[in-house]
Amino acid sequence: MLLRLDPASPLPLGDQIAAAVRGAIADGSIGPGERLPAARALADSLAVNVHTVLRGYQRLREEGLIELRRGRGAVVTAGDTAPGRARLMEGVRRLVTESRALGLSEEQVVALVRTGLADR
Amino acid sequence: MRFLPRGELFYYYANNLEVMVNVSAQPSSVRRRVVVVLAPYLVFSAVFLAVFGSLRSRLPDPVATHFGTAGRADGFTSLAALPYVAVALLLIPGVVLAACVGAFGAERAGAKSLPMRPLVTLAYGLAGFVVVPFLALVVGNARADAAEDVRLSLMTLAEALAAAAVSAGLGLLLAGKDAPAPPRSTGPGPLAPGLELGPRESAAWTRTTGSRALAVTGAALLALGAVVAVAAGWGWSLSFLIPGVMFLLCCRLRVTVDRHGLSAGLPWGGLPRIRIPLARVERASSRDVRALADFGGWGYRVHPGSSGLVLRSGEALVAHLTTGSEFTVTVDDSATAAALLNALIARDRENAPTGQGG
Repeated sequence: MLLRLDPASPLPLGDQIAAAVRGAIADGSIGPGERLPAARALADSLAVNVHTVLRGYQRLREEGLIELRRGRGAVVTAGDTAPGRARLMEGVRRLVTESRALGLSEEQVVALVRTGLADR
Repeated sequence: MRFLPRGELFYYYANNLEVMVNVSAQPSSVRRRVVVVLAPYLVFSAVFLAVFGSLRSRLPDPVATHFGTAGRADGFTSLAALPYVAVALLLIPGVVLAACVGAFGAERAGAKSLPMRPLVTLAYGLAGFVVVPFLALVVGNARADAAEDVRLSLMTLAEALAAAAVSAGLGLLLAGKDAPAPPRSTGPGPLAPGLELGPRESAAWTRTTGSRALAVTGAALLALGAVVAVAAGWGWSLSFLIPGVMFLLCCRLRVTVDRHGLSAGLPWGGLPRIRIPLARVERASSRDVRALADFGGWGYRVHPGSSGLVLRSGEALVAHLTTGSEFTVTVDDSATAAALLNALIARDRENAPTGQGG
């Protein structure tokens, strides 16, 4: 898993970390059930605050891609669907970025997704 | 002549003798070595059978075959089974060692052969060490009136060691020269594709690497230990449980490349860990390694000029150090790791062009 953080990017560092881990789960370089590097160690590697890493991990937990357990650290959610879910989340990120660039409101985006879901 | 400890003295003489005997320094063929390794086991089996045959009428039935610490007989085998057991115990190590020589002695595509002289020497030493107790056993039984009266003293062990030494010396003479080993390092290796790093960009690469073989071995040892614990008690099972746990501990590693350099340790961080600072790395590359052929086995391997954590054969990250030696760690996606390490080194040198690298 290659993590590259660009301080000049408008994307917060925590989100950049989440994006890198998400990519690694999507392409299978971190498998289901595998442990992520300890937040403290990763923060030291990247010269960022531990809380920045934890913010990234928290985002991935909200997306259902990893589980955070006391004492065990961050573990990729078990099951074969993890890479697929990670790819889906990458799609969602892209959707959100592009709709923001187009100046769409939240309601408009949700309406678009509903329309997509209505198709059979 | 300079003083040499006794063990080395033997080696010294053996080596010099070998120079006199083995004038033509032709590398020995594999087939010849298989025969050479098998020979002492066949010869000693024949010797044993000859001695057994000539003394058979004077042997008790059953024969005393196991002796306690005081040299008293405490285990017995039937007279009819003894020759089969003895010959099997002699031939099995012979066949195993001959198979090793056959399998690893040949040059294969992309890998050099292992040096065979130590293996041949070991095979001869072992043959000598095994046959002496068997002969002593037959002679001891023939001398005694009843199997219960048979005694085997510690002298037998001393005789076995002496026989092993003589036999090993013979093996050293017969082993022949190894083919001159090609230089250990197979050159620089293909340079990993470049990776551009911005001046303020921070980057890290981390990945876990594992060995299924080590994990399976560890689990099997634990299972065996559990069976032994039930069958024979906890004390006996420890010799399976402890290595089992060690195998399982070592079966996964986390390899990290970051602004500090290269580090390899347990998956959850913490000690023990191997760290190589950026300043000590000249450059990095990715290469295919073979655990047995290149490193002689699995685990933490140390050779002059080359060390490594080798959990499997295949893709590996190689750090070429400023001291001229190499550190290898087997890990997937090593090309990316090498590219990042090279980029970090380049940026480090740019920022401190006058630094000597401390």
